[in-house]
Amino acid sequence: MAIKDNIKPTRSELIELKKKIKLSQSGHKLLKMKRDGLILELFAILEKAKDVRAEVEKQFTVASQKLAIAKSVEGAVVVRSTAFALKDTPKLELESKNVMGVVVPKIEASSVHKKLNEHGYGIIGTSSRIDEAVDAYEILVEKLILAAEIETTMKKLLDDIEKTKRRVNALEFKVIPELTEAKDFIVLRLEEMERENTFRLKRIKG
Amino acid sequence: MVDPSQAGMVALGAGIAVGLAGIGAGMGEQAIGAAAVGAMAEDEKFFGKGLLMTVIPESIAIFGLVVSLILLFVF
Amino acid sequence: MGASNNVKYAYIVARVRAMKSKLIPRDMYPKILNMEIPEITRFIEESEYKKDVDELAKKYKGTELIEHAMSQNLALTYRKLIEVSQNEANFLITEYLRFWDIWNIKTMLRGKFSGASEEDIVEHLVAAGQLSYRDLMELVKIGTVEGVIGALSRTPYYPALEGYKGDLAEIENALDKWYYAKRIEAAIQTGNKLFLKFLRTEIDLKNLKMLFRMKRAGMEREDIMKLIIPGGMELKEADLNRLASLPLNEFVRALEEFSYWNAIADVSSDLSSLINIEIRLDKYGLEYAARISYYYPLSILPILDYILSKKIEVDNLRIIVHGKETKLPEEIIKAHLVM
Repeated sequence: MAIKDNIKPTRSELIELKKKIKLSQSGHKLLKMKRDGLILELFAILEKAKDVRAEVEKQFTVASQKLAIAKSVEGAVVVRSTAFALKDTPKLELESKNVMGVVVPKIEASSVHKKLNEHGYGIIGTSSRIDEAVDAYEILVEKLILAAEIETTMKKLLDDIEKTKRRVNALEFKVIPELTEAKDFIVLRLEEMERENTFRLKRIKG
Repeated sequence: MVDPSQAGMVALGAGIAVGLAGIGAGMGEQAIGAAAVGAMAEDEKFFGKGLLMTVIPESIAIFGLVVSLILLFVF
Repeated sequence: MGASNNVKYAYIVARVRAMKSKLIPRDMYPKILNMEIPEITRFIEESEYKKDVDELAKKYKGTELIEHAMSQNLALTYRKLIEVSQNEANFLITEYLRFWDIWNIKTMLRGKFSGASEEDIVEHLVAAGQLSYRDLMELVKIGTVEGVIGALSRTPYYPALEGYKGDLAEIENALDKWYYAKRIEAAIQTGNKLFLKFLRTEIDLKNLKMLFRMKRAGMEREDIMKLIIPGGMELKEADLNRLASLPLNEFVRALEEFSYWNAIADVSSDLSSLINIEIRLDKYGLEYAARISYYYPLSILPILDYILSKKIEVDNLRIIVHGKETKLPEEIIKAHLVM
């Protein structure tokens, strides 16, 4: 079916097909290279993602312990009322970066980790337990932002690898074989016509 | 044995002894009494202890009384 | 101090001493530490906090009930001190307990600043100061920070608040500073040297704690000096100025010449966390209060000692209950107890 059924076995078609095959083959080669490159990139990021994730988990334990300490020493009442004081949320800036034709996000966070006198609560009336809980959570948020960036990158890369792989496979197992088949068919057909012509000529002569 | 004119002085002395002793005891008791009431307000168990502490300065008044009795009956 | 002054304090001191004898004794804490939460809850329900627990049992449950019961008990105990004291003692206690007004105003402003709901704010108010529950309810209804500040214009807190320009931390600090200044003023006004002495030591300890925090955070000298509370006992303005300008490690070494050094000497090398240092300084404050209240048994000091001890008891119980609830390791809970 497919290409073979609706092509005319002409010489010009053959040339066209040959061109197409050549193009597909070079495309296939390129895509394969891209796939390999992406996979390499993915592995590099995978390592990072693993580290970041472990760090996030570690920081989360630290932060929740610090918060638990602050809550139990100062009282949940104090902690919550101090938390009231903070109003401005960290600003996130989204940019994009290009890794081998894949657009991945780059997150730029500002004013997550603040200085002691920028937390929004008074220093005189609070203790360092609050500072420590706040710091721990700020670091956690920073890590989370980093993790978000890396993991989104990873997901995008994976998607793209999948897509590239499908394309490579389609080229390798479908497009190129079909084109080759069609070419063979045309070649066969042309030869057949050649033979028929020769035969006809001989008949006329004879 | 005592001159009648001196008897008056003795009586005066006896009076002063009791009076001053009483004032002294009162001053002492003022603080202790206040403290005892304060402690008792928190815990009734302090009643016994508080009472005991409060009457200790009372002994001064008794000393005064004893002295006045001596004055009155010995001289 | 004359004899008449002693008499003035006899009643309230005896009463406070009796109240202090009902606090949980120190050697009880290790035992409580070994209990499970239900046992601790029962222990607290059967102790001095019974009435408060019963009262709040309808509204809260579990550890939250314990926490609210304890903070209500604390507030009521302090209220009671104001109610049963007279004359100078009453005046000084009232000044001392303005802490709760400051606390309530701060909570209120923070709540309004962040747009918290009225119920949320009310839940965190402790009506133990001069602002009554009704005053506070009125204030809560006001929508904005500026509105609350405006409503407070007739209170003595207004001078600290009127400079509000959108920076909450600034007026929080101003309020706290005002609180210290006001108490010093009260001490001078009554001529009560012991109160002044106690206060100035408290200021020293507070300044030290803040210095540690601010130095560690790498703040500049000018910023530090803006927050330092004037009027300390040992750490005078010039000392503070010098300490604030030193780099962190030199700052720690420079503390050696002050008498507070002994309290923090062995924990001062580890600056990764300041919690140990703060606990040591708190402990020093508590011991200091107990010590000088023995030297001057009929004065304001035993009362201040009680105020501190009661606060620390509530803190300690809360640390244990909360720590157990969040499954903190026992060593960490223990490390935070002030015993």
